[in-house]
Amino acid sequence: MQLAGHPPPKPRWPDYVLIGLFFGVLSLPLLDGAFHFDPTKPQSENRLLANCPPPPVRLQDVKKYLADWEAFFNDHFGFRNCLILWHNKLKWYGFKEKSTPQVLVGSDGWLFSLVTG
Amino acid sequence: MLEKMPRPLRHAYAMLVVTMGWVLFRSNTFAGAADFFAALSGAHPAMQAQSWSRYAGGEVIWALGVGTAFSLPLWSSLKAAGHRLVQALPLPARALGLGLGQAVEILLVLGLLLISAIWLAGGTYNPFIYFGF
Repeated sequence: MQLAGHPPPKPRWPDYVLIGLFFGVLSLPLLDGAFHFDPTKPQSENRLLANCPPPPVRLQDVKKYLADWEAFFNDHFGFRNCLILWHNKLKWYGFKEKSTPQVLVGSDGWLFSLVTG
Repeated sequence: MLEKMPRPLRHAYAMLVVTMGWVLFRSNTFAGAADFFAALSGAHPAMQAQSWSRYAGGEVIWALGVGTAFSLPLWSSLKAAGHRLVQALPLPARALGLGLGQAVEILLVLGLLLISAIWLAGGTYNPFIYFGF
């Protein structure tokens, strides 16, 4: 019912759609963590990814456990491969910036290592 | 007193307070925060001059530009202009125009969420390339 002199009520469906989609998008990494449906090949990082740490036995191990678990999460969260690929592409094609300071980009697709050792 | 100030001055004051507030979040100790404030005010000269170009890459300049633009009432002005455009449409098309505008807004918000997730994920990329050469 619309009261005289009042503007028509703003439709609520966009709010519900936005909440639903937001919740869905935020759930995607969790779902991929469980079911692994991200088809993107891992970006070669040339290092061993962190393993899931065992639960702490002593109280003083809790701090290390939390740090190790964060490292594990950072290496294994859902859609990581896909998101990192997009990040690298957006940085390069959008801003001509590289994702690692260890490389110098030359002409004709050449890459030069800046690491000495 | 703040309410009597002109709006641009109030905005500048808010930006200054927020920016200075970030220093407190950034600093591990109060002494560190004091050093930071001193450096920001020019009272604590830098040990080694850093070139502006070292930090101001395309990504940073783009983020500063878009951030500055949207810290102004740009988005509400765009929405108001879109609303006026929809109101000028004939009645049957008005609901369609309104729904289209709301769908575009939802897509933009989701796009922003996706870009934020992409940049957060990019921070975890840590390649070790030495053995590749």
